[in-house]
Amino acid sequence: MISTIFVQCIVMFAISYFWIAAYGGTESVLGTSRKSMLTYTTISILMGNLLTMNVQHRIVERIRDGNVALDILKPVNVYGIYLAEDLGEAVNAVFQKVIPLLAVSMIMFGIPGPASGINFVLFLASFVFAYFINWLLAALLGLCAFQTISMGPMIAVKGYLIKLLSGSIIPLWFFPKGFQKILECLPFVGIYQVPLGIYIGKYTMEEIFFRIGIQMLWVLALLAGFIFLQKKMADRVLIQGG
Amino acid sequence: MRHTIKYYSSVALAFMKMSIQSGLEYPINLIGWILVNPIQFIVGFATIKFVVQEFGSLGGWGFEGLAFLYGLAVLSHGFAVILFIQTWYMGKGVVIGGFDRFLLRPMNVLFQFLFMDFNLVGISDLIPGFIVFLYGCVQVKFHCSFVNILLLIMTLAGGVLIRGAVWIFCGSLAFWTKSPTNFVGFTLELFDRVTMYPLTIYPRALQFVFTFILPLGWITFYPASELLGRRPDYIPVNMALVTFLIGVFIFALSCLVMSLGMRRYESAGS
Repeated sequence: MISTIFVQCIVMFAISYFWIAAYGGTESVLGTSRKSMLTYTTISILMGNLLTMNVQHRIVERIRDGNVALDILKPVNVYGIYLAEDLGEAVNAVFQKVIPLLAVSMIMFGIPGPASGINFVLFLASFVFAYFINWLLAALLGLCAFQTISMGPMIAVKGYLIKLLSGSIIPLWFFPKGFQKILECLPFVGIYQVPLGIYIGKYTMEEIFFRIGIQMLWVLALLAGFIFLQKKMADRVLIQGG
Repeated sequence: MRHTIKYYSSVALAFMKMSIQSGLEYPINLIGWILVNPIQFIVGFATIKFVVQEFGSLGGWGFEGLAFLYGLAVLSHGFAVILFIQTWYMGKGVVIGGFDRFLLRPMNVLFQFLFMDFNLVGISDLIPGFIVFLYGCVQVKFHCSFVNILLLIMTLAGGVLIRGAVWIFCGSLAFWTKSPTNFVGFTLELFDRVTMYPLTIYPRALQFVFTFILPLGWITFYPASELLGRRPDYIPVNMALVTFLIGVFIFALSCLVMSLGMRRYESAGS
């Protein structure tokens, strides 16, 4: 546990100094000031600790040892259990990781405050949707294991892709224009970029509501996909046996 | 003496052959890693590219130099993972008595430990490493003279030895603590952050630490500065050469620490 915090501290230091070096003498690039970029980085790392999803590993593990059949027999929604476990982990992470990291970051780089009180409230709302987009993506990938049994390194690949394509390290507005347009059409931006952009006050009020609306649509779309796939995969379990 | 060397090298070859065969036992797994592992480096490299496109430079380094540095870092990471992956599991080995079999064989324990594993999966890091590095070489118009190639090989050797030494130091702690604490995630993150970007982006104090106390700056940053002709005038020595010497020295030191640790090794009970 302590070592994860050390790793997170290294990542936070490194990315923050990376940005400080990139900004050099300039105060603001493409409408983002150095200060808000550092805030962006810190909050992104804190969010990363809350957005660690176990559901994908959990499904794969239960499928491999056959216990998923027992899970499904229980008179509760098994995915509800997995979600509850992940939410519990997130609450735990608030105390074990987020608060210590926030303290370190405040000492090193100053208080990563939001643009305004309203922005903070909207950030929280947007973060809830971000959480569900991320959870549903993880669960969908986990469901694939019903078909493939072993996921190999696919879960890690998904992690790397989300890291880059969601704006968790570099915000989308620093990407080449064409690439930006493609990414805007994918659900990943709803995980980091949207809440973080709201937090640092990058968007106007209208844009914020528009973007949260899109996040909502993604949650609904992924949820529909999840329910559909989960029904299909439940049949596969019988074929495989326990 | 000659007989011993011959014997040891034949055992080393046998070890290597065995590891490669076991690596090839699951070809799909290997191919999967080769296809998938480059993605993390593509992500890292894309990050640098996009940022430098907007910001112009990073710590005084332009995109060309950064590509060279990044490629060198991934390459030395790849070689280190191929040669030294067994050091990642030292803590566990101490706790479950994994070193017993080395002690039972009539050979040098350190030799057996260093040569027992040749991790074929590490190739999945080497391939993207070569691609980015060659790209960087073309970008900086790297002059492929005999001396430069030699310096490059010394740099890689030194860098790989430094990485291996850090892992052996961390793993050897288990001889004293008797705890299987795994430092791998921590060291890998640290290596990546220090070797893939110019050291100049960090504050002075950290630069000092990574130069003189924990010599991670020597894995790529200083030798790359040398090879790209960025060495400041006040440093009179060839920095790629220094990397090699530091690598050999610190690696020998780590072997010594491990040998001392082995004396405290007490297997795993009944």
